[in-house]
Amino acid sequence: MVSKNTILSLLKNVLAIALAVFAWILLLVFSIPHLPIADKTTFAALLRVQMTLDHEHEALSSKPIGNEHLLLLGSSVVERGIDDSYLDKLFIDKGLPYFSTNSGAGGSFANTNIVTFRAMLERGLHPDRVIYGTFLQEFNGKFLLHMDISGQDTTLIKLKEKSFWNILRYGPPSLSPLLDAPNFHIYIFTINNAFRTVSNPTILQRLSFGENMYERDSSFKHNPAYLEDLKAIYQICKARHIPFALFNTPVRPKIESLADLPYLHKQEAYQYLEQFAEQENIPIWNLDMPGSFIESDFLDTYHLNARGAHKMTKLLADKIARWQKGFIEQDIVAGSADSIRSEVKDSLMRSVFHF
Amino acid sequence: MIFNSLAFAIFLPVVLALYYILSFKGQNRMLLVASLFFYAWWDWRFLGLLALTILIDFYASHAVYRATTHKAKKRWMLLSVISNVTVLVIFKYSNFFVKSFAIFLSKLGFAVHLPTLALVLPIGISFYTFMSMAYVIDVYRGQLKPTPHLFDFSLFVCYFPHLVAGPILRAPQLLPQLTQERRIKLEQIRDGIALIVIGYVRKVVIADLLAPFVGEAFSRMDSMGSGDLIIRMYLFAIQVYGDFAGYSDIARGVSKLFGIELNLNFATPYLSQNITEHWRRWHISLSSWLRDYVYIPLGGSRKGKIRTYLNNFLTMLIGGLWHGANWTYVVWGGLNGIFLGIHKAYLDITGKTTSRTIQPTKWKFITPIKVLFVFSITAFVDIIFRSPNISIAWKYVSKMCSFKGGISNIGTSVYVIPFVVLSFALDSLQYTGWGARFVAQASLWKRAIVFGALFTAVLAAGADNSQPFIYYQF
Repeated sequence: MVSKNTILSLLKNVLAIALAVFAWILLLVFSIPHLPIADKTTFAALLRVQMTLDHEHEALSSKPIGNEHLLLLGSSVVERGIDDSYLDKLFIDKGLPYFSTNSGAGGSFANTNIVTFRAMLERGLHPDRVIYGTFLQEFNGKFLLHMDISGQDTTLIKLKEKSFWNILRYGPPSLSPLLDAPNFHIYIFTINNAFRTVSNPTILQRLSFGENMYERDSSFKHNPAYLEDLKAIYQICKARHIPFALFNTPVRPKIESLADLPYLHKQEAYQYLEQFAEQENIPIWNLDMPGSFIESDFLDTYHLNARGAHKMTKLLADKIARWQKGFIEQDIVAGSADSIRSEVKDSLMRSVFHF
Repeated sequence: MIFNSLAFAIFLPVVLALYYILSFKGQNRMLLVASLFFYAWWDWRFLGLLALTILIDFYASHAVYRATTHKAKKRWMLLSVISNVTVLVIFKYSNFFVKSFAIFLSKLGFAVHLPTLALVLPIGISFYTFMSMAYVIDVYRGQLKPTPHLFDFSLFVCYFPHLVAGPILRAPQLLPQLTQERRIKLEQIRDGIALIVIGYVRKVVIADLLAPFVGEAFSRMDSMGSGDLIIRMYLFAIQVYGDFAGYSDIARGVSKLFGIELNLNFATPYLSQNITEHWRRWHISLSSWLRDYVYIPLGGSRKGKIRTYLNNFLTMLIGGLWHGANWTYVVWGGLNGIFLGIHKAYLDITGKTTSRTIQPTKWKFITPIKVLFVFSITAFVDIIFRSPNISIAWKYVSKMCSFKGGISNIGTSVYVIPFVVLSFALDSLQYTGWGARFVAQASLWKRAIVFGALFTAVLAAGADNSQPFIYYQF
């Protein structure tokens, strides 16, 4: 039989470490900015909700009474490409009764936005209008850079309160995304609002932002789930009588991939979106008009830089202004295969030839 | 049952609680039952194979001991060796040999379809057969008197901390600890817990979090540049080290809680200054087993320089094959043998010597370059170890050495730095002895804060990411 001292020593050691572990978990969950009680798959969606709850709730309450809250959803292209503070300034200049919140979720598909949107509604944030920005690659089922939570029932994903017991129970999984490269990247990206106001990113910011360069040997397969998720967001809005609009974000004129197939499927991808908009009679704005955006407006293959973001924000403000007046503007992007922007087409032709 | 599982998190406290309240005999009985349960958790049917190995070697050891002539002793010893090798060949290598033979025949123009066996590789088979076989050889050499009790021998082979992934223990070291009444020292509790936490950090935080980066080098090799593949070459070296050294640390730590000491299996191998030193520090229990039961019987360094190089090469080749039934392991072992031979030749030509111990030496200005060089060689050879077959290994090496494409995603590559730093920081603490001094001298609360932080990282990293140990497959 082992001596009492040995048993006590073991218990003391284990208990002391257990207590220290609990203390560390509590400390980290409370002190890491905007960390949600989430796991790796729900992190991207719930981080944005937690951020909104943590500081934007206060910001919302300080906005002029009577102004409508306009919620922007989408992926990192929206998160990075729409400067909501600049948009609010444009609203004031145009005399529009709006203020905006950009809740684009980096590295995510539309199913993440459903979670974000639903959780916001559950936690008492009620936008007056919702505008969703789509990007070409999000239609691509072969796109690897986005997190896909389509395997889960998203209605079950809730943002839990940061209570003592929740932290004890869910603390380690909540910290786990920070040790996971894609999620950590999203965290840095999101809490810095995708560095959207930074004109000249430093090396550290660029590294935090990620490279987001083209996918070598990428391919395209239309993903119908994306459109279904968009429709689900629209249905939530419809049920709550929240006006809903779609907009199409620009693609970089020159694609440096050897043979980046998604860009050859641009028409096919947007066709589904336009059919949906026409069917439901909702606005769909094409901000990817030929000549609107040039090479120097882009930070990388997918995202606009601060200058490009201002440009897109301004275009969006004009569209919103017309929407406010009651126009249901539907810009048709899809058409013949020839309507692909000449710069992109030229770039691809050269790339394919080179390949 | 694997160490990084919920089942083990329940198993260990229950076993410890029973162990602490039982008398010495009860402790041993309970340890054997627990060890068999631990093994059966994976597949109970293979307990029969384990029992067969134990029975053959137990009775062979007694037959060797009792035999009056050298010839008779040798016959019984060979019976044990052949039976163990046969078990290994049937379960681990039969299909490999058959397939390789069929490929060889097809190269000669004979298209044959030879039958293969649909066998599951019993977990830990390479570890327990080597331990059991070495026991009989030690008795044959007169270095050991066989234990009279089958129970003690069974516990020696089955003792769960080492059963499925080592260290490969020797009877003179472990058997006396099992057969004599144990007193658990308070330092063993303290050190054991520290080792368990460090082991989990190496496995769950370092190895498992690096695994996806390494994996994508093989799943997306075509879209990777040379820079990506070079980075991942080093990452795999750190991953496999974290995985296996982590297991060994947990095994040693758990064993300390029972008052049983297991040998150090990894002594900061990536801080080695030459390749010979690396193999003295890497998987020490296997390296020393191969030295004592393969290299020395082959003649060691007693039969001239050329024969020494050849013996080194053959030993490493067998060491490679021990890891698995794949030509990648054979080539991996062979290449390591060649590098060892080159170093030995260099020592012979220059008349220099290398330390025979694993004690730390004082570093000079040039030492970090030497360390990086040795680390790079071992990391390079490990590509073959990681590759599923020779052609993929060749493709990896060719693409990496083409120096085209650079690094495709610097942001993601930067992310791995903390884990690489953590791995070398743990090694530095072990190498300098600072870690051991901290554990021995710091107050309970200081230790709790440090190990609590480390274990928090383990819980976070392992929350929804549990990878089996690489060495389980061997």
